Amino acid sequence: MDTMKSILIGLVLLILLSSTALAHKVNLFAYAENDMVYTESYFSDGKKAMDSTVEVFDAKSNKLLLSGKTDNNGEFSFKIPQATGLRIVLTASMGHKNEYLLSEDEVRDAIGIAKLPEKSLPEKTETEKRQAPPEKATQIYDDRLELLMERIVEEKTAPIMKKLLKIEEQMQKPSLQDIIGGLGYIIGLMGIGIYFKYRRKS
Amino acid sequence: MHISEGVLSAPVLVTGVILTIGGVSLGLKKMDYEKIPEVAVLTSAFFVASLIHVPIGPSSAHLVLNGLIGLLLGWSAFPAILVGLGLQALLFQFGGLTSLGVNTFNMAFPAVVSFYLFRVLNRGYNRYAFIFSGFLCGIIGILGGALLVALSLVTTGEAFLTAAKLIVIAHLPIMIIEGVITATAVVSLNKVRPELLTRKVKI
Repeated sequence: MDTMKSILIGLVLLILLSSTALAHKVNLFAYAENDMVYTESYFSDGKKAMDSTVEVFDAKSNKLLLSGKTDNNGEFSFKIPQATGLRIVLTASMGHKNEYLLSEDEVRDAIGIAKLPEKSLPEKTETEKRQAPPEKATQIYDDRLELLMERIVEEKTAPIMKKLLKIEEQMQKPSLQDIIGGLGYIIGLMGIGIYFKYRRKS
Repeated sequence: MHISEGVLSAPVLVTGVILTIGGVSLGLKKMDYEKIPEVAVLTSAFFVASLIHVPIGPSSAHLVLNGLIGLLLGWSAFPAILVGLGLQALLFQFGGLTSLGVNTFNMAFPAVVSFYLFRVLNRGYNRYAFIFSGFLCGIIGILGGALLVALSLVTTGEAFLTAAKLIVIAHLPIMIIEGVITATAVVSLNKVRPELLTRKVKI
């Protein structure tokens, strides 16, 4: 059983190695900010997905809105084409593909903030404001103040968002549980195989 | 070399599934009772090998070991690779369930080719031919896989030659590494467990 032993030791080594080295899948992340959508893409080993096609679809009607190619950092950004949910599809070389869904809320928020410098919210007219009782204290002062605060918060939380993206990226990686679970399945299948072949023989 | 979900068209996916079903049923039929543990161990090796990434070359490539698996298992490489790829798709999200048929065939067919290649090259029981054929089987596994992936991608509009060139170049380092791994494995198996090999030599 020496070979079996050495193969098993090899497997354990492979598992240990695998915690640092990873493989074959392309990841795509996107976030909306200031009227723009920024996307980042990389293979799960950390290599950037360069010169890959990015296509943006309307999340509901599935209509192609725009497309482009990632730069040398695997990044691609575009102006928000419309205030709906966006489905962003990345096609990298060699049959790799992934997509990211940007929710309608996220897109709308990004547009709202970007429109601040010109004038206050266009959808709220003077009469509407008078009819509806103010829900928040800030609304009494000025809608502009509320938007300004939102913008400041957005700026301050940007690093946190970046961190969250990193965490999301970490979650995409195979965990030790996945690996051990997979090996368990294989051993289980081996048991089933032995069971059936054994009965047939005896 | 896992092809993701939603890349290939339905005819390609269906062809892949049919070819894989054929290969797997043949492999299961040829799998003896005594062979099952060996198949399981090599399936495990295949399953975790995809996590070993080789950071050389222009793209992201990982170990496949299909040459070695095919050399040892013959047609039983089909069920082994099917299980390995299925678990990778479920647990690691590598590839996808709809493209499982195509991916299995792309990896398992070169494995079967290397099985026959190894038998043919070692007719003379020459020790150098033995080591060289191990090396060659490692290369054939990856090279054949790369060419089949390129062929599958032709239907998506990628021209075969450009796709093939890109994939083969990206996997050149892996090819050499797998060749060395397979040759080393064959030599050491020949020493300690010659009954696992269809052909053995005195070294």
